Amino acid sequence: MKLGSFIIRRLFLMLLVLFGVSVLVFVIAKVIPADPVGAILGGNAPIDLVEDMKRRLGLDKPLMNQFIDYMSGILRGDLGTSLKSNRPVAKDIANFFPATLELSICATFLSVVIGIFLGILSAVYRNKFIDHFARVFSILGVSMPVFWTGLLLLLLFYFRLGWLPGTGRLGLFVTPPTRYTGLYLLDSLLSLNFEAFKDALAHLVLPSIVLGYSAAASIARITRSSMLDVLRQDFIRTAKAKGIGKRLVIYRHALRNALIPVVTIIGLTFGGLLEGAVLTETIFGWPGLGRYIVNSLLLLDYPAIMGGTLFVAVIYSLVNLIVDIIYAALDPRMRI
Amino acid sequence: MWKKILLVTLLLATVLSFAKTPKDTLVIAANTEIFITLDPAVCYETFAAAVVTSAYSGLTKIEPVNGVLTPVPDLAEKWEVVQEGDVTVWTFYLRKGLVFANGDPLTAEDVVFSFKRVLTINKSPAWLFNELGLTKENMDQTIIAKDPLTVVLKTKPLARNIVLSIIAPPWGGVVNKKVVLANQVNNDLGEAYLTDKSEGAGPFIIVEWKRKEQVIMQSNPKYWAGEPPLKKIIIKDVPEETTQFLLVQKGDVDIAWNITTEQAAQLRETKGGNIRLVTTPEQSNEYVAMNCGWGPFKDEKVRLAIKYAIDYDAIINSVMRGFAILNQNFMPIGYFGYIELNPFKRDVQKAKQLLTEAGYPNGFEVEIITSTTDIRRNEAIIVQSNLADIGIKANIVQMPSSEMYAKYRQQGHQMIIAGWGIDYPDPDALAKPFANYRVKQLAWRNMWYDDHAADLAEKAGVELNDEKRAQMYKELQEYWITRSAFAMLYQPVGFWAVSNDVVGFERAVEGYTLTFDFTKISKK
Amino acid sequence: MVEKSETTISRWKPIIEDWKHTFYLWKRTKLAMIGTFIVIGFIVMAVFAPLLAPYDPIKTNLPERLKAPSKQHLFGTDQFGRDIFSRVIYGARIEVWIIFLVTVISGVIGVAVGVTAGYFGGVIDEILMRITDIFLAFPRLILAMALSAMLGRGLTNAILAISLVEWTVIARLARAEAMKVKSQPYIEAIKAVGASNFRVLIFHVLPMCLSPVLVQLTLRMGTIILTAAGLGFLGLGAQPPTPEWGAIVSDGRSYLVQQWWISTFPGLFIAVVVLGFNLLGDGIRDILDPRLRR
Repeated sequence: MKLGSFIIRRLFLMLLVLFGVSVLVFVIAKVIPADPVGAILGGNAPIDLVEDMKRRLGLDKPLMNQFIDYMSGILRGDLGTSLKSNRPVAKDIANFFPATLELSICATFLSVVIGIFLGILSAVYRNKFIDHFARVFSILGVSMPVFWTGLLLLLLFYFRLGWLPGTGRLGLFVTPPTRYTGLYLLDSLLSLNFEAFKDALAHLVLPSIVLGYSAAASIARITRSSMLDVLRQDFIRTAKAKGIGKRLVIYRHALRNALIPVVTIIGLTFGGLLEGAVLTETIFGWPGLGRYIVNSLLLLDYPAIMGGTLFVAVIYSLVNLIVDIIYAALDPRMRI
Repeated sequence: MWKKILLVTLLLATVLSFAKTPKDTLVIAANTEIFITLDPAVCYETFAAAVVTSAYSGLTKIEPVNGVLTPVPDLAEKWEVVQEGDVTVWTFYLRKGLVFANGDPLTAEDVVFSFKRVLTINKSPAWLFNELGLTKENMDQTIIAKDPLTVVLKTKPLARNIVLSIIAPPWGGVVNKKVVLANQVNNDLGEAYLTDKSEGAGPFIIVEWKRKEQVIMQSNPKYWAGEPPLKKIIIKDVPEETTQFLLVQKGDVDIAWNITTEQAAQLRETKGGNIRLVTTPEQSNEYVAMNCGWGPFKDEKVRLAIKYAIDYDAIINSVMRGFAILNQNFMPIGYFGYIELNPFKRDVQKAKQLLTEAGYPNGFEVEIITSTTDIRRNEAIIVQSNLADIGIKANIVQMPSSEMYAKYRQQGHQMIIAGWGIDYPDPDALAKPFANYRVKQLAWRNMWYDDHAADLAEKAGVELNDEKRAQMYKELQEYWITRSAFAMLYQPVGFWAVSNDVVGFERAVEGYTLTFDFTKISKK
Repeated sequence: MVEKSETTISRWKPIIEDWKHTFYLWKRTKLAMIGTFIVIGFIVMAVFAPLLAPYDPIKTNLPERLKAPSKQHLFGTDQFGRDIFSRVIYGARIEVWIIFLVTVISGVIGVAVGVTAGYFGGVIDEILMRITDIFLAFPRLILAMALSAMLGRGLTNAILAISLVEWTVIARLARAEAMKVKSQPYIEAIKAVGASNFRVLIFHVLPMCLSPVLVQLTLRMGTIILTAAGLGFLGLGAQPPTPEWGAIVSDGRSYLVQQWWISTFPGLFIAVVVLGFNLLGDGIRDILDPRLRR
C-alpha cells in the first residue's frame, strides 16, 4: 500500500472511531445518575423549581433530539456549558490544556533522556550490574502508584525539607507571564519575566519526575531490547570486524537503528502521559485537563465530562495516528 | 548526575521568597473551586455569597444585633407596612444621594430591576422570592418604583423578619440597571457579565475573578456609609487545606479559610505564635434523615431507636474535634422561639428494645447515602458503626452532591447524612423545610407527611403576634423532636486560621454562612 | 499392563521435561523468583487475613485514634482508631477479589469478541474491531473513571468498569491467535468433514487461543491493581469502610503532614505487590521468549 492511501484510510477509520467515541461519551453522560439542574440550583431548592429549570434547558426532550443537538454542537465546536463553572466547556479546555501540555512535554523530555540513557547502558553492559539495576529501576517505575509517589515526594521535598514548592503551577505571589501559548516556561521567556520562569520551573520538577518516571521505565526497556536486536545484526558485527571502536559502533551505527522503535514509543508515551496526568495533576493541584476531568467526574458535571473525555480521546487518537504514520513511513511492512 | 540534581534543587530552594502582606490589603487563601458565579441573582454558595454581599447593598442588610441576626436598614433608611386585605404593602424609602461604585445615581428603578431580575433569571434564589408571594407572573403588579426614592412591594402576609431578611443581599443586592442592560448577551440580563465582576453599591468592588487563581476586591470610596478600612482584598485559590495552613503560618497570607478540624484543634491548643483561631457558630445544621416511606422507617419506633443509637458525642468530639454544638433541635441556638431540647444520648439498650418492639429484633440492612467530603464520610462511618451495635447493617454510598440531591429530591434514598444551610435568620426558614411537607423540601423528601406539624409551621409563619408565634414554635419543636424523620447531629462551628495582624475578624464572621462583613476588618 | 504404563510415560515425558526446563529457567531468573514469592505472600495474606490481622479492620475505636506506629499498632492507627496493619492485611482480600473478577470478566468478553472476530473475519471482524478501537481511543484510567461514575460508586461497579476497559487488550490478542489457528490445514480438514462453524470455534479454535490469553491476563494483573487503586484513591471505587488500599491512601491524605503512616503503608503494599506481579510477568515473558531462553 502507498503511504498516501495508508494515511487516508487511517484518517477515515479514525473519524469513524471518533464518531463511536462521541456516542459512547453521550451514553455515559446520559446514564450518569446526576441531576444537572440540582447541581445548578443547590440542595435547598424545592422540586418544582428543579422541574421548571429542566424544561427550560431542554432536558425533557427525547434522547434522540438531545443527541442530535449534542452532535451538531460538536461539529460547531460547541461542547456545551459546564454546570459547575457556568462557562463554555470548550473555553475551559482551552484554558486548562496548556498546563497539561507543558507538564507532559517536561515529563516526556525527562523520561526520554533517562530512559534512553539507561536502555543503552543496560544493552551494552548486558547482564552486568548496571543492567540489573536498570531493570529493577524500570520495573519499579511501572509498579509504584503515582498518587502515592506524588504524595510522598510532596511530603518530603515540600512539607519537610521545604526545598521545592508545593502544589500549583506558580507561587501565589508570582505574576503569571503574559499569555501567548499558555505554556508558562515559554511565555515567561517571551515576556522576559525570569522570576516567573524560575518559579514555573521549580513547580514543574516534582510532577514531571512523578509523571516521567513510569514513562522512563518503559522507554528504557524498549531501548534495551531494540538495542540488543541491532547489536546482534550482521552489519554491526561487520563494523566491529572492520576494527571500528566499540563506542563508535554503538553510537554511530547501533543507536541510530535502534532508535526507530524508540521514536514510536515516545509518541505512545506522550499519549500515555495524558492518563498519568489525571492522578499526578490531582496530587499536585495542577490546573490542567486531567484535574478538570477528575473534578467534573467527582461532581458529575456532565457537559464537562463529555467535552473533556472527548477532547482527550481526540488528542490520544491523533497521537496514535501520527505514531502509526511515522512507523509506516519507516517500515513499509506495517502498512496494513 | 545526583550531584547535579541536588545542586539544582538547592538553587531552586533559594528562589522561594517570603514576604509579609501589605497593611491595607487582606490576603485570604481559600478553596474557590466551589464558586460558580458572583452574580447576586444566581449566587447561592456561602463563601461566594459573602463576596457578593460585600459588593452589593440592598434595601436591608442582616446584622448581628446583641447576638441575634436581624435585618436592619441599609439603602432604605426606613419603611412602612400596611395590611390591605390578604396583601401586605411595604413602602421602602431610599436614602438620598445614593450612588453606585461607578458614580451612577442609584434609584428605585434599579431596585425594582434587580428584584425582577432574580425572578426572571429564575435560579436558586428565585424560590425564596416566590415564598414571599413575588412571582415572575405578578412581578409588574407587586414590585413597583413609586418615585425615584420609593419602592413598593406587595407580599403575602408573613412575619416581618421573613420579608426583610429575604430581600437583603446577596440575592436582594441592587445592580446598576443601565450598565447591566448595556452589557447583556442574548437577553441574559447581564448574567454572563456579572459572573466575575460587580456593578453594585456595596462597600467593595469585585475587580476581577480569575478562575483557579484569584478574586480581587477593592474598597468603594463612594460607599454611602464611608469607605471601609481595607483598601484591597485578595482571595487566592488554594484548594488544599494543608497548603492554606502552611501559608498562613509562614505569614504569606492573612487568613486560611478552609482548614481541617485537625489543624484547627492543633491551633486551639497552641499558645502564642503569630496566628490565632477564630470560631463562630454557623447558621446551618447537620442531620441524619430517614425516609419515612421506606421499609422499617415507616415505624416511628424504629426512627426513635436510631436517634438513641447514634453517638452524638463521638461525632462532635472525634469527627468535628469539638467544632460543633450539640443541638438536636432543627433551629439554631438563639433563634426566635428556640427552646433547648437535647433528649437523645447514646443508649444501646433502649435502642435495641425499641427495635424489638417495632418487630426488628435482629435489625435490618439499610443504605446510607452522603456526599464526598471527608467530614461526611467520617460521620457516616461512625453512624454505621453505631447502627451495627444495635444489629442494623448499614452500607455507605458516597456520591457527588448533584447525584445525592437527585436521589434525595426524588425520595429515592433510605437514609441520608446531609446538612441544611439556613436561607434567612427566622425560625420560618427551618420550620418550613424540616416540618412542613407541603413546601416539598426536607420533610417531603423524607416522606414525613405529618399534617399537624405542617399546620403548625404554616400558622407560625404568618402569625404577627410575637408571643403567640413563640408559643406555636415551642409546640412544634416538642412535637417534632421525637416523631420527625430527622436525627439532628449538631450545629457546626465555623473556624479560620487568622494572622494576628488582622483586627476585627471575630466581629466580621459573626452570623457566618448567612452573612459576613468585610468592613469590620482592619490590619495592624 | 507394562506396555500401557510405558506409553503413558513416553507420552508425558516431553511435557515433564518441558516443565523441568521451565523450572530451571525460572530458578535462574532471580527477579522472577522474588516476584513469585511476593505474589505467594500476597495470596497467603489474603487467605489467612483473619489469622494474621491483630484487630478488626472495620470497627472504630475512637480513643486509639491517630496513634503513631508502635508495638501495639505496627503501622499506627487512622482517624477512627482502626489499626492500619489489620486494614492493609484485609485489604489484600479486596485486591485479590478485584484481580480475580476483572481477569475473569475481561477474559471472557475479550476472548469471545476476539475469537469471533478472528474466526469469522470480514464484516463481523470489522464491526467488532471498530468497537474495540472506540474503547481503545481513551486513556485507560479516564475511561475507567467515566464508566465507574456512570455505573455509580462501589467496589462491584469499579470492577465492572475496569473489566470494560481491560477486555480490549485480550480481544486483540485472541483475534490474532484465532486468525493464526484458522489458517491451519487441520481446521480446514475438520470443516470438510462437516463440523459446524460453532463446533469448530468452540472445540478447536478456542482452546488453541487460550494459553497466550492466559499468559497475557497474568501479565496484566499488576496493572489491574494500579487501576483499581487509582479509582479507590479518587473515591470512585470501594466505599468506606472497605479497606481497599487506594482508598486507605486517600483516607490519610488530609493527615499526611502530621500522620504520615496512614497513607504510606498501604501505598507501599500496592507498590510491592504490583512489583511482584511485574517481576513474575517479566520472568514469564523471558521464559516464553525462545530468543531469550539463555
